[in-house]
Amino acid sequence: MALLEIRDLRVYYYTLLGAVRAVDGVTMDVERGEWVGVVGESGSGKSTLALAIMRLVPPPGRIAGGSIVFDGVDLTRLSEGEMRRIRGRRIGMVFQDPMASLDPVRRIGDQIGDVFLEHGVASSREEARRLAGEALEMAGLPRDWVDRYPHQLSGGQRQRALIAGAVALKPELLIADEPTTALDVIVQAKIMDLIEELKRELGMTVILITHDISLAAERSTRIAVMYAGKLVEYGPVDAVVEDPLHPYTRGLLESAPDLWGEKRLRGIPGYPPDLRRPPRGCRFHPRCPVALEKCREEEPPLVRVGDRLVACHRALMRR
Amino acid sequence: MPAGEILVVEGLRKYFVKGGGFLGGPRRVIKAVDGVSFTLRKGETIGLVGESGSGKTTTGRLVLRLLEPDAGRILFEGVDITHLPESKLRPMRPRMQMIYQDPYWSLNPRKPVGEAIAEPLIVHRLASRSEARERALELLERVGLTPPEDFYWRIPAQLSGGQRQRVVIARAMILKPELLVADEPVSMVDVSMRAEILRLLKDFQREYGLAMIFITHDLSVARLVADRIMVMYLGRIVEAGPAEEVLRDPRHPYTAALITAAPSVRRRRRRRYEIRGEIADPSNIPPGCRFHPRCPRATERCSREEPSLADIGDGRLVACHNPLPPGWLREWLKTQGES
Repeated sequence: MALLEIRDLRVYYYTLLGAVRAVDGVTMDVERGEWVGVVGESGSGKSTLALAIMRLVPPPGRIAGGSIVFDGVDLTRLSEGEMRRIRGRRIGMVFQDPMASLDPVRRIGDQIGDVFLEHGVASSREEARRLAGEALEMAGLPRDWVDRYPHQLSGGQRQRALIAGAVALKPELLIADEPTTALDVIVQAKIMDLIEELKRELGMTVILITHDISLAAERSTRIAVMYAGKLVEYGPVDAVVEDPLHPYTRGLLESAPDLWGEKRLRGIPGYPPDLRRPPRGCRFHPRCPVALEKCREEEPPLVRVGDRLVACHRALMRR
Repeated sequence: MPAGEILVVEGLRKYFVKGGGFLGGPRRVIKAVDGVSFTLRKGETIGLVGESGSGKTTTGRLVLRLLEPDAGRILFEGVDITHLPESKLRPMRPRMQMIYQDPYWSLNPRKPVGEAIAEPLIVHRLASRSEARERALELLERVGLTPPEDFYWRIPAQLSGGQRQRVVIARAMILKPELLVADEPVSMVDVSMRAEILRLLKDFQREYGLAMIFITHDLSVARLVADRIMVMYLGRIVEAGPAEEVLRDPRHPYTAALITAAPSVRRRRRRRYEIRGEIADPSNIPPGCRFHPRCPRATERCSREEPSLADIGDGRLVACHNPLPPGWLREWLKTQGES
């Protein structure tokens, strides 16, 4: 049994202008010990997917259907109280903007300490602060920084503090949503090192959500590519980046500037669809350079091709 | 001034003072730009690269006189504009334009984007209202927002990020400027739409003979657009030279660290040239070489004496007492098992 089994997950935002189908029928497994990179552009549904796993989809959004089975338990069926016991303890999460995730007027140690009190691991503020110090140390920060305020830390240090909080209770799964987007490449690489090191030490599974396929390719075991609310390709990183099966994956790779690649950049023509009225057939067909007649009419199913999953009529013909 | 140079910058400096007043907290002097000199030729693109806090955006704003410099000189087309009063500067403004990172904040949310594009022509009294509208429609078409009559009346909220950035480009280009400062113009644009935005900028550049300062934190983007690259660190240029040479044969340890840390599909799971820590607070710049606390090659001299940006030949400049030897990166890659 995989650690995480997502089946036909649908997450919709119910707006006055209709339901935005942000995640629309995603099925994927994440095995224990994996590092899965979920890649997509704005509107792909990648962040909503992460929020859904944490059961933190903000209104007017809601899980409209499907299941998220984590270690045998369907998270979509848990009460908020039951979910609270999992959140932070068995599944940790770090977000993009460390400043927005931290309270500017509370000491770092108190903020990280909350997680120990909430889950009854510490019985006093004192003990929580001591444990917070240990967590900071694990994230590569001095233990006595529990007394510091967020503004006294650099961007990279704040992200370390948040990671310390997210892994303090040694979760089985860490979800990191664009954790390094606001940081420069050198600090970004060091934060990725830290996540990798913690993954190894704690035996964690990692899901990294990012718009940057190069970053995802660096350390992932598998890459999941999302487009317009759908999973379009999922497979081992080497296969996906060296021989992409889905035209969108190929387009994304050709769109990513690379210091060691060709000195020209291709894009993907057109714009992503309005998710209130997604196109019929394959959602990518209006932008696809190799679309078939069938792609306009019939939605391609997610099919196993070797060790990969792909949702593309053209890719299936190739098989 | 030699022919072909549109911009000459000498010893540019800008400090910001934070705090110090009533309730202001301790007074800090932020040395955002601290002695920057370079020249830009007509039709040339300089990629100004650095992390946040390096002073690259402040440099861009200073050369367009959107900020007042504290010291140094700026010559635009041979005219010293460093302290030119706004009244004298105004007729020159159409010739120098800026594009910002976030297209959303560059546009009035209630103004139809066609009107926003036409506006600079009207403000600078370069066209009548109806001529300006005609030109705006042409520009909309030109930047791929078609049919232009339809896009003209849309407001920014009705456009995607990539479409908004096209509007911002059209608005800057309607004046046919000679100098453009583009500050991270694609960093908020979806990956699949970046190529198109970069191509638009390149096309306008060819057509107008535009000189461009392209500000980015991303070396791989700089490589695609820049003829020359200048790497900034804590308010100073630490390395400059022809783009491909800087990237293939960096001489400053900081440049080498940036290059080897850039995520790459082709170099995945590869080693980096490691440097320590993070960029210092620009209000607390280390003595000597500002990079020395992070530098693997630092010597005692580096903590005492600030290196100047020295010419090492072939159009290359480096500010380092102990630069990497020529061909260092290729050798280093070999020792990592890469060729």
